[in-house]
Amino acid sequence: MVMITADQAKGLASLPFLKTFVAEAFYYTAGVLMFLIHVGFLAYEGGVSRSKNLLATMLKNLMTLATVGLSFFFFGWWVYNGFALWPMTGPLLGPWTDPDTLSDTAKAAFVPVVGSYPWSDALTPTKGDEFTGVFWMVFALFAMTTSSILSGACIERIKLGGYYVLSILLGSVLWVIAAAWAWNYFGWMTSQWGVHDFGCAIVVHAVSGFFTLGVLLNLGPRVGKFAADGTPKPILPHNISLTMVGLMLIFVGFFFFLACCVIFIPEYTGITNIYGSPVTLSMLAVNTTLALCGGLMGAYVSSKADPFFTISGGLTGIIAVASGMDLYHPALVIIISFAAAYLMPKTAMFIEKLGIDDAVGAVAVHGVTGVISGILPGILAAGYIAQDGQAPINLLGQIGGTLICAVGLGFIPGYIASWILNQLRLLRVSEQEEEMGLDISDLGVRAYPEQVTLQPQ
Amino acid sequence: MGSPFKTAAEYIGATGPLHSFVGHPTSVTVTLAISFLLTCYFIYKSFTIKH
Repeated sequence: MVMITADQAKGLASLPFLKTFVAEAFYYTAGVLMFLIHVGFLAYEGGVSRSKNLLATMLKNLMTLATVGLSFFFFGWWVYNGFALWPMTGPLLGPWTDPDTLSDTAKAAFVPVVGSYPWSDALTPTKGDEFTGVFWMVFALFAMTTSSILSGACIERIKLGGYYVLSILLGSVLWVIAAAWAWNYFGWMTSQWGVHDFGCAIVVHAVSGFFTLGVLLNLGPRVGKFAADGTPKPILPHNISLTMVGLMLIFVGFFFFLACCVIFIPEYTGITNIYGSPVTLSMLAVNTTLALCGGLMGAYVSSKADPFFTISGGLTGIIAVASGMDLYHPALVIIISFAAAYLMPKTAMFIEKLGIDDAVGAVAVHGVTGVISGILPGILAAGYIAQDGQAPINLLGQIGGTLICAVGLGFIPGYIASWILNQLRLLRVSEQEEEMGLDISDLGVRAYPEQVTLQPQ
Repeated sequence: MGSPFKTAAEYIGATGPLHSFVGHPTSVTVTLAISFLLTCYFIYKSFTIKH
């Protein structure tokens, strides 16, 4: 028999609380610091816009927090939990589900579903569940980030209301379905096809990048972006330094985004990825940092030190390794991030030559890079099995999962939704409003009321 | 290169390296060399890029 002191007994008694609190505190802190991504996007997009559109651009990005945050509370969180098994390994789980009819796996998947309804006690102040709320916040931040990717590409000509509708569709429905399938312990794409996407390159970046492409095809280019013969004309950022500060903030926020891709709950004895396989914060620290470095180098060389493309390369590098970064050697991370960021400026210019006006290169940085990232684990990290009975990581599974997400949950819905909004004249401002500037036409204010700004010739 | 683990249990219970180059020292050497050369190439290009 082991004798312990009264103080030791008190310490042991508080252990369950400490385990819960440490886990909650990890996600709370990392989740709040993810807001830096939005500070960054605000600055990034604002800097890229012309001064006559600065405040409208920033407001559009800011309000993404509201549109996506609220819709994620009303139904987005349920989508993530309810769609995991449907349609391949189980039913769509929701308030209509009778748990007695479910398989053992479905019963386990149903537990978080019950806590995801907006009327559930799990999201209220309650001592009965001290955890669901912090997870909800982290996922809501992921959702806001996903919609922010669309935000930048559409600046200077999209109607605010049209954008808000698209942001809700992308941020609280489409990427969430992709995540339910391919970034979920119960997700059928992982259990059946072995899909592995540690850092959400497929479910966030590929989905949002290709959704954006679908929207841009209907939105059309800014007035004056292309000459009559289709030659692209530069529309210069009014404050590239603000854009660069913004991207640096996005890098910081991205470290926290990836930290929130790590799972740490009170009953665990080690941290895992979303699939329940072992990871370490050490891996995250090294591989994220090296991916940023490799990406900056690759884009710097490829774009001949263009500041905008170079700093976008840092983000590209991280996205390029995000899917498999828990399984890659650091030297491999440097090579992948360099190569993807080297390709990115060429891709962005190719897209522009096709007549698509993507003001911030979202399709190249997020869409194309997200697809590359999603496929690479099938080549460079095949064979890992996340849980007993599941398919191993394999090339066909990665390709299939990536394409379904990028095209089926990204491009097609983006194109259809924006086409409908366009037909209803709810997508784009008038040419007159665009020439006047959205700050005046939408908001009735100027960003720089005491300055006279010169228009480029 | 690929999973050094044959089963899910082996992977979940791992206590050492997890990456896909485990057991492939040549892959480690080659990728380290390439990544170092890329870094040197970047330094070289920083002197030659002109506008």
